[in-house]
Amino acid sequence: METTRSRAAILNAIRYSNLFLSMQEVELPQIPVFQRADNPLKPEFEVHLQKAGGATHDVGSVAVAETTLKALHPGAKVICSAVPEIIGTRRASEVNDPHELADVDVGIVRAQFGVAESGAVWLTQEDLIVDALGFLSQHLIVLLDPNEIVPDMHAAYCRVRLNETAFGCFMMGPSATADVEATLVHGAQGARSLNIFFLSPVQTAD
Amino acid sequence: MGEPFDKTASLLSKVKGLVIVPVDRPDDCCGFGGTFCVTDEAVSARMGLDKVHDHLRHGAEYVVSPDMSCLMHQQGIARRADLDLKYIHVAQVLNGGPF
Amino acid sequence: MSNAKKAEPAAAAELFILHDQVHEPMHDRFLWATMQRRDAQAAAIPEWEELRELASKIKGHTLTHLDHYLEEFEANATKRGAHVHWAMDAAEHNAIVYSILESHGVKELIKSKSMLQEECQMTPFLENRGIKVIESDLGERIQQLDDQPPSHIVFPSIHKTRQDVAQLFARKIGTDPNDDDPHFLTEVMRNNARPRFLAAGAGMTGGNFAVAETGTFMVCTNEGNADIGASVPSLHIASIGIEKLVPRVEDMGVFLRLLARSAEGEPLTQYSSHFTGPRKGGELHIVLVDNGRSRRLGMPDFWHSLKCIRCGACMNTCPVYRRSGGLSYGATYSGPIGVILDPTFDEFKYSELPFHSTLCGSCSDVCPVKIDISDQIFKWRRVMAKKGYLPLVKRLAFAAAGHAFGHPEEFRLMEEVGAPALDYAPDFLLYNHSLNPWGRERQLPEPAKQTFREWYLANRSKHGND
Repeated sequence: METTRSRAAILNAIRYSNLFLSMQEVELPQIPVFQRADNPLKPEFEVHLQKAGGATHDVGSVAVAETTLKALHPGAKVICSAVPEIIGTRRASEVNDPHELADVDVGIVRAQFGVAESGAVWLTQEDLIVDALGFLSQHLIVLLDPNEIVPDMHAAYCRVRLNETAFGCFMMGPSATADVEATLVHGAQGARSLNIFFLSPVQTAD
Repeated sequence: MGEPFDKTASLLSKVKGLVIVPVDRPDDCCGFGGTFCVTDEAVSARMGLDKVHDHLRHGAEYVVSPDMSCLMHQQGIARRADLDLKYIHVAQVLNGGPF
Repeated sequence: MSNAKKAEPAAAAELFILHDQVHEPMHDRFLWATMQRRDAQAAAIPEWEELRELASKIKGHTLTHLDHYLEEFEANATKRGAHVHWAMDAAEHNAIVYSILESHGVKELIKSKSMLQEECQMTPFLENRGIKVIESDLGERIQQLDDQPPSHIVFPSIHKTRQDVAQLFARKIGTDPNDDDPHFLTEVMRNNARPRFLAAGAGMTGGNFAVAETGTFMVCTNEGNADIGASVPSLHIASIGIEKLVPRVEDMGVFLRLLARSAEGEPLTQYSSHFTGPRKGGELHIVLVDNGRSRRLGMPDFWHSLKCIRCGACMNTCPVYRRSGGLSYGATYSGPIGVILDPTFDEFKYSELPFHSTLCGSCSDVCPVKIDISDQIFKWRRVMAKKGYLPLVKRLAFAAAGHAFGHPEEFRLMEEVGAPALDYAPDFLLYNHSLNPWGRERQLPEPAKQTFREWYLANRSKHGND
């Protein structure tokens, strides 16, 4: 494709333009470590997640997780799980095509860590097994180890491994929009609700 | 983000008996903008009218500014709308007159 | 050079204001409220100004070494299995996208918000070639159904009331015109878009940032629509402007902490997604687009505009934008950032834009990457004046004002003469709409008997510090 010619043309045009800016060169700055108040991270995480339209539950055990799930989504028919702790009605590992997830009422995934300053959780392709699980599910349950919460985005980016996964998402609460008269509505196109279950990973004989 | 600082308000706060009323949009431009007031007249007037209403809503009697053009612009709009606000320059206040 | 009709923002803004008593006040109110939320977020972060400075420097460094970082990005993205294409201009971008879609037999594509794709006029190009393009972002879909471009880069339909949207959906989708509850309208969009996601042969996104270190690009949304589009169809095409590059993963910490706070007063968007190579079972094409950016990079006065992260904070704070609506600018990019970008696309067509400002400077204050927007607006005025693009009225007005301010004795003479002249001039002259636009909306001032300066010289200067 002619794209290689354009590639050369664009790079040359950039180099030419940069000649005009040689007086204005800027060094890449070091990002400092910012002073933080020593507040406990879990409550901060919970406050921000609530503001973003999500909810948290201290389930503590798989049994309580199951009952909480039933209480939150009593009418759920298709529960697609990507985690060993909760079986659900369908295993994400058995899904071949993302289109198969169109009928999922509740998706269950485990996030690697949360971010206190926003209430966001980090979910990768490996966590979701099928990326679309995080976005086609009508509702999401996200398992999170309460000890795996980092203070802010700087700390978060120290933990992510972007070159080791094709997809990673900081997911903060359910989907939302404010496009109509700046009125916030939750449940726009992605998940209608997002519930965090604080539960440490359980060793299962799988 | 630092603490907001307003030079004019700081000076005026030293005047005995003078009460500065807080308004909804202390930092929204009044819309004079030089030749803007005639080339972009509808927007300029709208900006000015919004400011006049803001001051009125909060019970201001006098509107004080170091900028003559801003004062003239807002005064013109207030007068046209038959609204009772007086516009004076900060030098007049600090000098104790004339009003 | 341009045959295009000049954009006339002042006239368009007047129509927006005069339309009714509802639309402009609503528009102004919503955006002011958004700006206040931004202020609250900024105030809650002690290192906010430091973050702005870092963001500005990171972007400044990247842009002055852009060729290096583009090559690094391409190498890393390709290593992970992405196809990277380069487009010199809008036409080439559209041709590349079409070629990819055609070779995959795609008849229907679903896209998320991309100002770059808007800039390239990609949608009409593809639709003219038989490919259906569906906007998935609610605001963009509203605008698409209404045959209008987006009016704000973050809130594309913010100029519309809920009744406008309800009427529009009723006309185009067949829903109840009287149900204007935003929850209902959002649900309508959800149910309307979902089958399209499932049927689409390809999903297209833009890119908020591209990280050279890992070959990753990022897409930030609140709806998750970009993620559905990227995770359901097996073909994902991303259009990314070359100025979106950042060097390192850690740089993203700075930008993500600034972006949503500046754009909407939230710590993040609901979804901040990172794509590095194709997903399992999918194919990923990245189109890097120049379209005038490399040329803008060589403009010593204006290259800082390339640091823009498309947050829209400048629009929310701009007193002129809030009263005018984004459509009044007649360009892809509106508001303060539009004023300094659009002339680089067509200097003549957008020669009026730099005057659609009071130079209040608020935009420069809120810009998370510290673009000197207000200064650039002023510099564009000089360009327009030098090129002779100003209409006669403005040229005369500026000449007169410039002369008066440049000659203090003449200025004082004008005051002395002007004052009594105002007393004697008949109203029909003073308040004549064409001769004196000042008088359209304002009463003329009553000149005092004596100017303050005259009074001061007469009473104070003799006594020194009295």
